[in-house]
Amino acid sequence: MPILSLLIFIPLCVSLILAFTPERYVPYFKWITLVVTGIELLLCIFLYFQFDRQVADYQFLERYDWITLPLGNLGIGSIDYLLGVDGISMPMVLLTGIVMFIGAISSFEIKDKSRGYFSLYLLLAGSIIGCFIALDMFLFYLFFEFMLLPMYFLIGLWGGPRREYASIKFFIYTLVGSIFILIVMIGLYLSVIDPVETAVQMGLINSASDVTPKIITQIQSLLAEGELPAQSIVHTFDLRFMPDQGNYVTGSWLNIFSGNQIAGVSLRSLSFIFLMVGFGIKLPVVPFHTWLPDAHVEAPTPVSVVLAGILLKIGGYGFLRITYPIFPEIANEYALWIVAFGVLSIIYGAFNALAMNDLKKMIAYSSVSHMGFVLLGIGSLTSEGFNGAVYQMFSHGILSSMLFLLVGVLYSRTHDRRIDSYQGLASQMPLFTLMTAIAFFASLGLPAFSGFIGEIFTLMGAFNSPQIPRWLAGLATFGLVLGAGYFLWTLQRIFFGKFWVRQYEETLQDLTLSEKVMLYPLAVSTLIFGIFPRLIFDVTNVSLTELIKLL
Amino acid sequence: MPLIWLILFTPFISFLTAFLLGRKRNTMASWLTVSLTSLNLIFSIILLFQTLHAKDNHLIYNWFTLNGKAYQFGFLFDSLTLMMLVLVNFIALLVEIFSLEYMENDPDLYRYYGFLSLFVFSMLGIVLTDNLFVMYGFWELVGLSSYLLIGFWYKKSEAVQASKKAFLMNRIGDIGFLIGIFAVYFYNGYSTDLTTLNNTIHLPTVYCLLLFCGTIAKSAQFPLHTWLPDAMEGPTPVSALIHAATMVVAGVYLLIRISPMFDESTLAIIAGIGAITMILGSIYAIFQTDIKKTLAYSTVSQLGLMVVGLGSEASTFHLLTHAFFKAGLFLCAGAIIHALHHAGKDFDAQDMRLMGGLRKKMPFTFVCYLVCSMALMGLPLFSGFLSKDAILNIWFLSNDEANTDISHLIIICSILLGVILTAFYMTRQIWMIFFGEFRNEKVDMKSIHEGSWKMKLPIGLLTILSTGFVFSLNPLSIEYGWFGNFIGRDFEENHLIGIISTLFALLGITAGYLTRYRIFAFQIPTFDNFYNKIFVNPTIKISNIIQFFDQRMLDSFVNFLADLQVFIAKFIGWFDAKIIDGIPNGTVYSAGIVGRVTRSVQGGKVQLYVALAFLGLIGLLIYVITTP
Repeated sequence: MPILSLLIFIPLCVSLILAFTPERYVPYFKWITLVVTGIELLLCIFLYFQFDRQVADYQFLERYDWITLPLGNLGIGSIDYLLGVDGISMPMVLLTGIVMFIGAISSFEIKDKSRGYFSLYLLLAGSIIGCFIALDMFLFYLFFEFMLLPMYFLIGLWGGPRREYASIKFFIYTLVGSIFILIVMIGLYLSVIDPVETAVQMGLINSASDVTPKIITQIQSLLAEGELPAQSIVHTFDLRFMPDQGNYVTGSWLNIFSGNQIAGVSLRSLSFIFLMVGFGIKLPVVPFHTWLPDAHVEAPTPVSVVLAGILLKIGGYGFLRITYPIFPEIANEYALWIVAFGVLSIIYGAFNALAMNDLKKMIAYSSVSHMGFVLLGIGSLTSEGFNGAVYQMFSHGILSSMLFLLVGVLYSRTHDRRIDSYQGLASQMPLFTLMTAIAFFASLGLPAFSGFIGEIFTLMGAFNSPQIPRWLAGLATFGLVLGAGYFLWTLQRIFFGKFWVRQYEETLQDLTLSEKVMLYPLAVSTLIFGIFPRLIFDVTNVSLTELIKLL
Repeated sequence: MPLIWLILFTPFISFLTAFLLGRKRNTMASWLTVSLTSLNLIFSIILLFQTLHAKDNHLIYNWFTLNGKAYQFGFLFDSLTLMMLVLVNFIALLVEIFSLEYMENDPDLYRYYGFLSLFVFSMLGIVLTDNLFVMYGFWELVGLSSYLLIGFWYKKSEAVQASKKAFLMNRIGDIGFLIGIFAVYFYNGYSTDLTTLNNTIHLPTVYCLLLFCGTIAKSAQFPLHTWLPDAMEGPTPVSALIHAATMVVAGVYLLIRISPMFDESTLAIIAGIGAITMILGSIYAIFQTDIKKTLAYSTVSQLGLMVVGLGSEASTFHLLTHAFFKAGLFLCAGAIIHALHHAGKDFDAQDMRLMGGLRKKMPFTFVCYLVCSMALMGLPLFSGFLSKDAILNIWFLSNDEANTDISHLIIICSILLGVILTAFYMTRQIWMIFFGEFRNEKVDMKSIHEGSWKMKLPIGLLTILSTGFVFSLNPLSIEYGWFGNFIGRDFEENHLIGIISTLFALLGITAGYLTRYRIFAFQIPTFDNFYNKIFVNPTIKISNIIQFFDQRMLDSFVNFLADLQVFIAKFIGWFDAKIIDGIPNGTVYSAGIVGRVTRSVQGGKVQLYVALAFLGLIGLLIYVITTP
C-alpha cells in the first residue's frame, strides 16, 4: 500500500471534489473535512507504529521517474516523484496529522464561503504532508510553494479586519524566502548527479535495482576524474544523493573542492546562508519574523492553529533535511552565528511577548521565542541539541495549537483579544482556566510537560557544544525566566482577581463540547509526551545520530 | 519493590481523585486525602523499618536512551530519604487534619486538598529520586504546587501577586541550578546519580555555586529570600506545611546531597550567605506586626542557620527539629487566626497589635506556642537546643583546627547574634499575643475559644515532638540521642557551647522582656523596592523599548521596503508610459507632423513644386560638382 502517496492524495483529491460539488451538499463539507483529516491522522499513527526505530535510512520509500529531460551536453535532467520518511520527518508527519485534525474540528466555526474554505483547507493539508515526506528537492519545493496559495486565501478571505495586509505580507515574505531556496536548488541541481541513473545510462547496469555499492564508487571515481561522458550524466534533485560529496560534478558550482567565490564568499557558504534565510523566514528567526504576529492576529482560529502548529516547523525541518546534511562544513563554520540568532530570537521574542496587550500577539511572539530554542539546538551541532530541536518543534506544535485554540475560545465569546479587557475569569470559566493554565505552564517549560524536554535538551546541547561560548548558552536560559514572566503575568491579569469583562456584563460560558474535544486530547498528549520523551526520541535518535556523523 | 512506587503515587492518586470528586463532594475529597495520607505514612514507616541501613537501597530504571547515553531515574532510600519520607507524610497528615477545621467552609475545599496532595507527591519525588535531572523535574513541580497554594484564594490580588513572585524568584534560582546540573552531568561522565556525587569530583567553584542557586531560591536564602514572607498570603496550614516545615527545606536537602562535592572556598561563600540570611531574617522578624510574617522571617533565619551547617549531619538534624517546632508555631498561629476570625469581622486577624491576653482564652494553644518557641530559641530541654548546638559545634571544632581563622569567628559570632535576635523577637511576640490586655475592640473576648480536636491534635503532637526528650534520653546532650545512630554519624557534645548559647538566648529573652511594651512597626527598607527598581521595572521598560523597535522600526522598515517597491513599480509604470511607450507614440506623433507638413506641401501649388524641383536640381548639381 503506497501509504505516503495516500497521505498526499486523499486530501488533494477530496479538495478537488469539494470544489465541484453541487451547492446543496455544502453544509456537509465540514464533516467531510473532519473525516478526511481523521483518516489522515489514523494513517499517520499507523505510520508512526510501523516505523522501524532502529533504521537511520528512509523508510516507506516510493519512487517513480517523473520527468526525464535530455539536455544535450549538460547531461540528462531527471526529476523524480520520491517519497519517504525518516526519524526527522516522522514526528513532523505525526504532528501534521494531529494538528490538521484538530484544526478541522476548529473549522466548524467557519460559516461563510464554506466551499472555498474547506477545499483550500484540504489542499493545505495535502501540501503540508507532501512537504514533509518529499525527498526530491523539486517535489519539496513544489509542495513548499503550494502551501502558500491556500494559506494566502485562508488568511485573506476569512481573516480579521486587516486581513489583506497580513495575507499579502505573509505571501511576500515567504515568497522571498522561497526564491532564496530556489536559487540554491538550481545550483545543487547543476552540481549533483544521480550515480544510479548515471550507471544505467552508461550501461553498467540494466536497471536501478541492480545497483551495488561498488558500482556507485566506480561512478564516483569516474566522475572525480572527469571521465564520465557529459551526455550520460544524470542530474538530480534527489536529496538522498546530495550529502555525498562524491556525487558532485568536478568543478561545478557547489563542489566542495572547486572553490568558486562571489565577492570573496565561497558559493557553498552563500548557498548555506541563502537556505538559512529561506527557511529562517519560515521558522521565523528574528529579524525575519514580522510577518508572524500580523498573520496570526488576522487569521481565523483554525488557520492560526495550522500556521503555528505546523507551518513554522517546516523552517526547522528544512534546516535538518536540506541545509545541514548538504553543507555540513559550513554549518560548523557558522555554528556560532546560528546559535547567536537563536538566542536573539529567544530573548527578543520573549521581551516582545512581555510587552503585548493583544493575547494573540503575545502568543505569536512566544512562538518566536520558542522557535529560537530550535535554532539553538540545531546550531549546537550536538546529538542532544538536534534531538531536542526536533522534540521542541513537535512539542511546540501541540502547545501552540492549544494556545491559539484557547484564544479562539475567548474571542468567539466576546470578540475582544485585549488582555486588559478581562479579569478574574477563573470564577466563571473554571475548565477554560484549567486548560489555559496547563497550556501556559507546559509552554513555560514545566517538567512533566513536553515543553520542558525540548527546552532542556536544546539547552543541554548548547552547553555541551565546543563551538559555543558558555555565556551565550547561559543567555538563552534567561528566556526561561522571561517565559515564566509573561505567561504568569498574563494568567494573573486575565484569570485571577474579581470577575470583570469590558463591555460585557453577563456571565461567560465555559468550554463547549467541541472545545473540550479539541483541548483535552492536546492537554493529555503534552503530558504523555513530556513524561515519556522516548515516544519521540526513539524515533529521532538513530537518524539524527547519523546526521551528526556527517558534521 | 512496589512499596516505594506506592509511596510515591498514593498522593498523586489522591490529587486526581480530589479533582474528580469536585466541588459537590468537598467533604469526601478532604477525608479521602486525609486517609490516603495516613495510609502513605504507614507505608513510609514500614519502608523505614524494612530498609533502614540496608546495603541495597538503590533502584534504577531506564527512562530513555539518546545517542547511546541512558537517561535513568530511580529511587535512593538511605536514612536521609527515609527520614524525609516519614517527616513529609507526617507533617502533611497533621496539616490536613488541621485544615479539616481551618478550611471547613471553603467552597473550593477539593481544590485545596488536591493541591496539597500534588505538593506531597512532588516533595516525595524530590527526596526519593536518585539523580539531579529527575530531581529538577520534581523541584519545579514543588514550585508549581507552592504557586497554586499561595494563590489559592485567587480573588485576593495580594495572594496572586505573591504566588507569581514566588514562582518567578524560584525560576531564577532554578536556572542556575539547571546550568549546574548540566555542568555536573558533563563533569561526572554523563551521570548525575546522587550516589556518585561525592568528594571525588572536583567541580569548579562556579559550578558549585550554580548548583547552590537551587538552594538559594527554594530555601529563601539571601538575595532571593523575599518571596517567602509574601508567600504568607496563602492559607495558614499551607504556610505550616510548605513554607516552614517541608518545601523550603528542600533546598537544604539538596545542599546535604551535593555538599560533598564542594571545595573549601565554595563552602566559605555558602556559609557567608547562610549567615547573612540568618541575621537579615531575624532582624526583619523584629519589625513585623503580622503574626505570620514574624514566623516567616524567622523561618528565613532558621534556613540560614541550616545552610551555615553546610549540609552536614547537623544541618539534617536542625532540618528535622525545625520542621516540628516551626510547623507547630504556624499551626498555633493558624488556630489563633481561626479563633479571631470567627469572633469578629472587619479587622486584620493576623495583626498582633490587635491581640493580647489570649493565654486566658486559649490556654492549650498558649502552652504549645510557648514550648515550640522555646525550641526555636534553642533553650535547654527543647529540641532546638540540641540541633542548634550541633551546628555551632562544627564551627567550634573546625576552629580548633584552623586556629586563627577570622572567618570562622565571624560565623560563630553571627550564629550567636542570631540566637540573641531570635530569643528577642520571639519573647516580644509571645508577649504581644498572649500577655497584657486584649487590644481589639471589634471582637468580644468571650466569643474566642479553642478549636476542636482537629486543631488540638496536630498542635499537641508537634509540641511533644519539639521537646528534647524525643531526640535524646538526656535532653541536654545529643550524644545519648538516637539521631546520630540513625543518620550514621556520631555527634560530639560540647557542653561549653550549650552553656554559651543558652546564656545568649537568655540575654535575648531579657532584652525582649524589657522592651515588651514597645511596638516596632516602622517601615524598614525592604529588598522588594530595590529589586523592583533594579530588575522588574527595567525589564518592563526594555520590553516596551523592544516592542517599539519591533513595530516602529523593524516592521516599518519592512513596510518601507514594500512601499519602496510600490514606488519603484509606479516609477517604472510612469517610465513605461511616458518614455518607453513615448518612443512609439513620439514616432507616431512626429510621423503625423511630417505627414501634416508634407501634406501641406502637396497642396497642388505648382509654383512651389517648380521652385522645389529647381532648388533640388541646384543642390544635386553642387553635389556632383564638389565631389571629386
